Amino acid sequence: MALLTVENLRTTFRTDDGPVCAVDGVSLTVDAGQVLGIVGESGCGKSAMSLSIMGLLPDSATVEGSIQLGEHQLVDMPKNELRTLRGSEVAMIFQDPMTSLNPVMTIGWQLEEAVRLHQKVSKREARALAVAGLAAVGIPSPEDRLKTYPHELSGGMRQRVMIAMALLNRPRLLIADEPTTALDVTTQAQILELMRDLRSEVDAAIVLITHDLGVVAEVCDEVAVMYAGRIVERAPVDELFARPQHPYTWGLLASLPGRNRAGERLHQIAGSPPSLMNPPAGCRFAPRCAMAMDVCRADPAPVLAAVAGSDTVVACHLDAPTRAREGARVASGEESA
Amino acid sequence: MIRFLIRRILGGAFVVLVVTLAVFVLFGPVLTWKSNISPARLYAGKNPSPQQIESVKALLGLDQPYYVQYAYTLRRLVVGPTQEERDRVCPGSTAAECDQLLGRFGSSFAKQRSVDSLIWSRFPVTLSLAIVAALIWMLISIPIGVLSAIRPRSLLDRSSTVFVLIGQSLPVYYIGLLAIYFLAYKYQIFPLSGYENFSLSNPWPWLYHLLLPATVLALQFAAIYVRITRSQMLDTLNEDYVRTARAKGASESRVVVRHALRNASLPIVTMFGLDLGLLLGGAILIEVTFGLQGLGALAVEAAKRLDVPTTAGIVLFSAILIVVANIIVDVVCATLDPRIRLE
Repeated sequence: MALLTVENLRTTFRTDDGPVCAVDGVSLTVDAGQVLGIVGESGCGKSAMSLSIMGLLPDSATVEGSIQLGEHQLVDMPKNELRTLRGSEVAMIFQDPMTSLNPVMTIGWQLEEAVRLHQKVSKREARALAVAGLAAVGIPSPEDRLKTYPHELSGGMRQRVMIAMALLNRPRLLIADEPTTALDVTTQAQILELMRDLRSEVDAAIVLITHDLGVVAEVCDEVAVMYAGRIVERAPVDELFARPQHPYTWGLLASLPGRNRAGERLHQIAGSPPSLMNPPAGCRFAPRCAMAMDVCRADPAPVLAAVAGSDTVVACHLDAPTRAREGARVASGEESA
Repeated sequence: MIRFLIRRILGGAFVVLVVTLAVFVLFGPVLTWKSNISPARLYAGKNPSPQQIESVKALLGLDQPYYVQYAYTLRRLVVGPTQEERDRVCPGSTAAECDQLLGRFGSSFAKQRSVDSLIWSRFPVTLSLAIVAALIWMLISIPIGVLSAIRPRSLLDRSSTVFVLIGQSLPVYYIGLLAIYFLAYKYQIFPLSGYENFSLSNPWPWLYHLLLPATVLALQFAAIYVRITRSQMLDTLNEDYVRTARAKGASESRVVVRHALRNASLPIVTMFGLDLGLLLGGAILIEVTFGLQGLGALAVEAAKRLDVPTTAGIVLFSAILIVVANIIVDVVCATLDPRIRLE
């Protein structure tokens, strides 16, 4: 039984220029102990989706559909109830560790607060848990670190503190929103390794939001590719890299800096993502898709459908042989059409 | 932190030194040169003879070159009048008697008293007024500012904007006169004017006399502080660490008070310290409107009577207060924000 089941999630922001539908009918499931990667470019609705799950959206946003976490239905849950779940059942790690910790409080204070918001423990016990939490994420001499302030730590250390803080109450679901994007490459590798180590220990379901397919390949079990508020392809991670099905996925893969194309200009997907205030009819990727047909530009948009002989689902009108042929070309490193 | 404090105090001492020089030059050579007002002539009384003026010059040390005079002024400010000065100005009297006539800030021309004793007799009034006013405006503006930041564009936010506009546009003497007319004269809720000394056993008469002037003074400041609190809180509530606090499951009130307010308070504390320091040097309009015998009223009197040492003394005294307020602000800010201790 899946730990997190999101069905037909729609997140709409009221703005002065009219409603903007940032997440448009997203469905997905994550099991305990599994890592689901969500990839897509900036503005595709990844973060809006994760904040919908956390209930952290501003009042100007409305969330419809269903978010089932274990026995809890999170959509339309009273704010106070949702608050008790935040930090205990579901925790989140944010993109920029430099700004995500309170600059005027010690690390110890912030960790102990996280413990004591959800567990009835003494100050001393909270402290012990904080020390254990820091040790678990590989921070040396955690006792001393409790007294330090965020500005006294490096970016990588701060992200470790954020991870430790998120895991203090043993959440069942961990949402990591671009946890390595703001870090330099070596620190990125360390944090990813840490997350890989932790996933086996904590047995939580992890939703990893990123725009970096390299990160996906390293830590995820399954990947959902999002484009303009919708999931266009969902596949086990090996499948996605070996047999990508959606033209947008091809574009993403082709634009990875690959070893066999050193010195060449990187591939880019022509055009830019559509405005979510006024999205195109039909498939939202059609205006940028080299293989778009008339049917793609008309409603109804293609729906996610299983690909024969694999666990992949894809939302595309192209016929299976074409998708298989083009996908294989991209996977092998050739330039796609 | 100790080193931080020492650096701040040394810096403050330097600022005070510069101010003493400026005050000395402005109220000494510049005044004499620009207006032909000789301090000795003013001190000597009505229609003095040239001999009288010469003897006053000798008495006050005004026959010395300026740099010697400045050195004496400085020494008197730091260590108090020397025995030699005392013997010159008040021969035959005891040190305590002479202190009434000659102090660190010199001697008043208009009254046969030391500037120090004048300042210290007036300072409690100004201090009381400033403290009560500060309490009122902080208690009004911080909650209103925070609440309007939490609910921007709400009814409270809009009405507080109107309040801010009124508070900032109406001069204090106008609000003050209206308040006196209605609340003190017509309905007699408050006394018309005057001041009662503070006493621990019964502080009510003191507070009763201060309430009206302090509230009027506070209104104007409250308006500014509502604005700055609101904008600071709006900025802080958008910070990533506030989102982190929410993600931890902290309640909204905890997020606002423990996480956001402390971060937003730095500019407010800074402004508060400086405003209070400034006010302690005298709130002229309020003191005159409400007949309070504070430093501001003293400054007006002294200026009217061309009482140069008293005017200069008040200027210097206020400057020292502001420098001290600055140091206190720096220390408080460093306590609130560990990053400030670094540099």
